[in-house]
Amino acid sequence: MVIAPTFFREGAAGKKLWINPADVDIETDPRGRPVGAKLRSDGQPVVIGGTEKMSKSKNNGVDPQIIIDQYGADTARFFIIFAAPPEQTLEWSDAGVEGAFRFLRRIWNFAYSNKNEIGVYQSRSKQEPDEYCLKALNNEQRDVYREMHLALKQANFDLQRLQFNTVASACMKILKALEQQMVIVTSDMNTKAVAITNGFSILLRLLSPIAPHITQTLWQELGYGDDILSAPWPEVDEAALVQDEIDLIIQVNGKLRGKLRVAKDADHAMLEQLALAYPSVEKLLAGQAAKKIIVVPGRLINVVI
Amino acid sequence: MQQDYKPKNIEVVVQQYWKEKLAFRAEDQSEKPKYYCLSMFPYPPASCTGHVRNYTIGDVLSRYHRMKGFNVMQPMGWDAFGLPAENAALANNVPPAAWTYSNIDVMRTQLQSLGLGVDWSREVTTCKPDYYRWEQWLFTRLFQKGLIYKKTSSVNWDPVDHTVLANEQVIDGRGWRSGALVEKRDIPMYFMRITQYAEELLADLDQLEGWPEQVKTMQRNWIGKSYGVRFAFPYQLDGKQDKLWVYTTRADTIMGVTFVAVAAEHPLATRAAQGNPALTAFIDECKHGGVAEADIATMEKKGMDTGLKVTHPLTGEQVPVWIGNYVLMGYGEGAVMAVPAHDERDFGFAKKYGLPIKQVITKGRDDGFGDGSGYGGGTASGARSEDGSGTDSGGIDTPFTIVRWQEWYGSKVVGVCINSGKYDGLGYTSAVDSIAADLAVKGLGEKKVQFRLRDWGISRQRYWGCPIPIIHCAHCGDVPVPDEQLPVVLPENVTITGAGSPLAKMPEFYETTCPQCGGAAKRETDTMDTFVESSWYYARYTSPGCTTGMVDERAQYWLPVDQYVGGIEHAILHLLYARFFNKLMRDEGLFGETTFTSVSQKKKSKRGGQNPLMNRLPTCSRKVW
Repeated sequence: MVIAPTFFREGAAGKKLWINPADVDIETDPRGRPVGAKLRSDGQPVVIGGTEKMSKSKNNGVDPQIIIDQYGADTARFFIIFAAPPEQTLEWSDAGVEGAFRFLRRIWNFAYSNKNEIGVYQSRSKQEPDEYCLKALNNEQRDVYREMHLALKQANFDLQRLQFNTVASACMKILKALEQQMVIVTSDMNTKAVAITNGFSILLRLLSPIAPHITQTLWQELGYGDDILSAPWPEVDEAALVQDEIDLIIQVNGKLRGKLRVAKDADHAMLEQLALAYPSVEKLLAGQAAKKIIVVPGRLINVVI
Repeated sequence: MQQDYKPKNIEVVVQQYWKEKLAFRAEDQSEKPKYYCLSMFPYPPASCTGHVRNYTIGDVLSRYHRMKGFNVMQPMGWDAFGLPAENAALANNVPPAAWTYSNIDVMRTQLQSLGLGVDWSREVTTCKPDYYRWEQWLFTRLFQKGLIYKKTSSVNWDPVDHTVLANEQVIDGRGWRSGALVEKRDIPMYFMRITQYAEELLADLDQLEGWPEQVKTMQRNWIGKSYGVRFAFPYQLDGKQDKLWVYTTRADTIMGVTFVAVAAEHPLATRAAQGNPALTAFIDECKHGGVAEADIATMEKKGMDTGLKVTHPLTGEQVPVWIGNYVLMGYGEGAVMAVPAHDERDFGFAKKYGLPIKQVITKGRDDGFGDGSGYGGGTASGARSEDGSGTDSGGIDTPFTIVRWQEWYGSKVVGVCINSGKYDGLGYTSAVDSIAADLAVKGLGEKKVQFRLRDWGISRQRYWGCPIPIIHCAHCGDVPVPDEQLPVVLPENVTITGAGSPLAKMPEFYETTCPQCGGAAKRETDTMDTFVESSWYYARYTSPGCTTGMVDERAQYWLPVDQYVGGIEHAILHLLYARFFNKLMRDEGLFGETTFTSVSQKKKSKRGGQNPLMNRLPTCSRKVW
């Protein structure tokens, strides 16, 4: 079922005259909530009705062709998939359609501004996770790379259980990760290019069933290949998911003092030592011994003084 | 590379690229595993968002599987026959065919602009002779096998649209489209003997592991297998001994029968109405209103005493026979025993007409056999809130009363027989066994398995449908059209007047000769229910261009469907009929043995083992008959 907002005016004898959402301009408050609506043709207000199942009688049907004509098929498809899982009701929303369009535009813009890095990089596989790449990443880059593969893992799982809306949101996460990857400062530009090239190919392939036109176009434009449909489905780089270092929260008397990156298998003695040597902890201790050190594995170290 | 994202420019280019590359052609032979993704096909004027959503979901699945290395088939077609085309023809003064074809063109363009990865070489249009001729062929085969038969039948007649309505098309006793009060009419119709496959259709549900439980439950309930007892009330009328047969799943309550209710069309009702204007008027009244079960459940229960009496088969008591508007001639025997104490509907009826209420079931024993503690608790709270009193628990602890009916009275689980003579103290199972045995000794009854499912009436008194391939000959009777005369082509250039079928006014269509005796004969002018077309299109997609039969050997490669994407509103009828046709076609030998023997058990049915994705979506304008 697809539902959409309704608008009407009271006619003679209280009869409601239903007005199609496409003919209405909605005014919203700063938080985006609708506060009023006007009929575009006469500029006069109309009443905002409930959100109801699309029907002729309520005149709230949205012709998908209008969306396709205005924003393109990929936007219509992305919105439909992203807005609700298949077995649930889809609520039509103009804001949602625009959001879908903006996301696809962001992908295009990312491709355009990085076309040289991606387009030039030819020496290694553009598609497959790259051991060399992973080893050469610095900590910050590796975190972002892991984020991306976590999102891919979830998406592949969700595809198996026919939950496509989360696949669409995984694409958003991956784009965000790639954007982060871009701004990380590093002198090793080659490694960065590998990470971007590889990551963007994952994004394009994962997105291609939902938004097939833009992904096919960029696949060719960036020199990944001729036909994205014949490319292999992106698989998770399991090595990327292995976390050999984790961040622990450092507290002094229960108060947050900072974050500490430690080896995942570091033992208690090592953690206590590291915590005591942490600059802000060291400063607060001012040479005294800590009364107690509480370690919550995988989460935090609390130094009581 | 362009700096700005301009979807219009790139989408046209990409779609052209796919077209030239035949990117979505499904190969009939491949090293790759096959993946057949079936989206329910649209009724062409439908251009709503629900459909676009449905096809987008199917396309995402198809593209994903293609990239995962499957040989994917995603076909598309048009469910093109149906009433809306006739109505549009009437309103716009265009022939239904022209209207339909132009809608198909519009919709095809729209779906193509969506970028669906469809193998268009497999397109199916159900109103074209190359499709429906094979449906007619199957009809003649089934007719010869007795799987299609003619029967005069009481149907829902829409006096405004001049057509028979399916039960589902009758809403609150009115035609779903016209809103006219529905009448019951007796007309000759062709029926498909789906009941012959009831057991198999039911049993297969257990093997459809990928089907949503909700859908399987709906189909199970629709098929409605019940275990009960069929038995008779003997009577003497007009000097003749006869028996009034009924069926019950509650034979343990037989000692509580205080009257029998028959349908308005039952022979006993007809007999009783002779010379009785009041009864005649009541029977006429009953014949208005739908035959749909939902209507029966909600409408006011009305009845009238026929004055006739029948003999209780076990007690020998005389039992009055009533006509009840809630008894359907088409279900079971068209007569039911009434046990007001233990059936809510009978209870209401008895209270209304002052008929006796005799308790024969009491609450269970404490030996755990008939324990209903949890059950009783729920009823109790419900009853309390209903009458606002905390003193009357209304549950299993409440003694039987004829003031208000309680749910436990009707439970098979908590009850044991009382006031039932030799059956006193027996629980449900042993009471039924013992009563059935006693009836059998008297030759008045036996245990019987019954299905709720009824045969499928496929005749429609409409023009825009597949002509029924039968020739009526005064000498030879109903003769199926021979293969070499198929298809019986539906004339496309007709004028729709809105009153009756145009075919019945076209001698050039109906005047023919009998294939057997060569004498003058009349062609059948009814067409088939459009559900027939939608029951096998999934198979036709596998064999595009096949001119030798419904399908060819390619069906064996592609079936079963691996993924179905369709709305939950088709969960009962459409999917049940599709499963039925799968069996009919199998029994015609259309699928080689291997399709159904060498494939693992769970894939036995066409959608077996896989995941039919039901989204609740596409409810708009797809016709439902």
